[in-house]
Amino acid sequence: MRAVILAVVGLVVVGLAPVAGGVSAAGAAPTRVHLIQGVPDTSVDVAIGGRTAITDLGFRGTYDLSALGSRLPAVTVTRAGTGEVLLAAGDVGLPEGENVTVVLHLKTDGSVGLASFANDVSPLAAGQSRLIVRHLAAAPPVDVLSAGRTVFENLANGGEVQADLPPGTVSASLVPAGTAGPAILGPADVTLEAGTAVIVYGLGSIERNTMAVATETIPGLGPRPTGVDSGNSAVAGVGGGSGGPSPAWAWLAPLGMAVVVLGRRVPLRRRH
Amino acid sequence: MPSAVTGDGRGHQIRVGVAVLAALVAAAAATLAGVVLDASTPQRLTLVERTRSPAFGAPAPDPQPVPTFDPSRIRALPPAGTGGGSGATEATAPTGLAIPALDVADAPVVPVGIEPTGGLEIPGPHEVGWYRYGARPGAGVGSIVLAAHVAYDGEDGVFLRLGSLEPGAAVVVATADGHRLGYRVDSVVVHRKDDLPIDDLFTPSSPERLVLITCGGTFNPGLRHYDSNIVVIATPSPEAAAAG
Repeated sequence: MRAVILAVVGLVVVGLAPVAGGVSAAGAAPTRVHLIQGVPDTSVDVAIGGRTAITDLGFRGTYDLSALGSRLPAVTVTRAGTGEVLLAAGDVGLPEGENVTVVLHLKTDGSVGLASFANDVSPLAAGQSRLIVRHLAAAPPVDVLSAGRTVFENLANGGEVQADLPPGTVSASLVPAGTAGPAILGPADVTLEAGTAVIVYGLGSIERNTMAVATETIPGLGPRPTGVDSGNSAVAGVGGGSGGPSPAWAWLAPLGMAVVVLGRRVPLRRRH
Repeated sequence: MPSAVTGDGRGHQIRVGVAVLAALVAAAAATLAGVVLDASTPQRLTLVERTRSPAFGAPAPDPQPVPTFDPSRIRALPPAGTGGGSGATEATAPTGLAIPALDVADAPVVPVGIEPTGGLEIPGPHEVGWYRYGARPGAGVGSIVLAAHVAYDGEDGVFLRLGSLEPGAAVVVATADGHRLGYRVDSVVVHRKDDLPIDDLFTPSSPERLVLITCGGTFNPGLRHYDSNIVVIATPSPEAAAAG
């Protein structure tokens, strides 16, 4: 899989990850694991560890599995209320990375699969947002078109591509790889906000005419500060692990303040 | 390295003492095991590991513990969307903060970003800054970072006494749409500023939590600078909302 790097409305492709489940980010067991039901026109029951965990989860239904750690034991997915087994996944190991999404979806051949992704939650540059596109549909490899131009090329089932972009609304279509269309999905408008990642899932089946989009949003990815300077004057007896100013400094504090006040007629600049 | 806040403010010293003690115990254990202790740290670590071997009666860790599944530990979330967007609106932004144990009653909360210098923007001493590109209260996931001065230009800041909070204390966040969300303090920790775990504190992947930050440690009046940060972590506790 390759990404075509094009200067389309300021799009900058910052990276791409090859396959579902193979993405590895820094860190060990995930602290945030969400499950998305990505099979259209279907409701499912999910058993985990031999016990019914989720019942009647419809298309786009989402669950928080964060408490289960890095491994989902004995996962079995059945058609809701029927016991018809759609997927006996066994033990599902999750990829490394703090932030993981597990998606129930259709594989290229139309059978039900479970794909796990470590989401890139690394901090964004100031004012940027992140777009991630994942192909999890019973469909051939696709190109991603935006504003009539190819922005990602040859994305196959189980794969993902991503770019950090300015906020705004992006209109995207999926077309069979190497063609100009017609689109097998979209165009879909996706709203990108600063400090936020949006993951767009291409889901469903061409053959069954159930192609559909689901989006997952991960906020809180704004740039990290270099530090937190939240005080510029002494307090008496409180304020920290050392109980405020040490005695050797304490008597200087009011003096220092007076010197600063007398010496500067301009309003005090916030010091850190 | 963090140290727990103690009443007499000697967390650092206690921590160092514990570390020294631990090293001595490890050395003694290694010696008891009939091994000569090498001065180099990596080897020493290896030897300490050996003292935990079955020879000392400790069972070997199970490499594949059988997980137990409790359905109550998972929960439904709002369904995936179709058009992106976080659903975040002005209505879900925090607007007020109450910490009854500190006599902080509905201090105004204002959205803040990052200063051109790279530091977190901190509002005036009577306000609390909410990092606007972090998590929002009630979302169920991520770190809601709230920072305020301990003291600014000689005025007491909203977080003047943050370091005296104790685990279990109630914290209440008011949002623009009129909700009052309760949290309880889990930990109060002092970090030296050059050792502040910023990525951990700002992570979007934690369960929902408040991260309250101010300055502490030793104040240098010449630089008008504190050498440490006080960090309070609080997690959702609906019944705590009644406290504020």
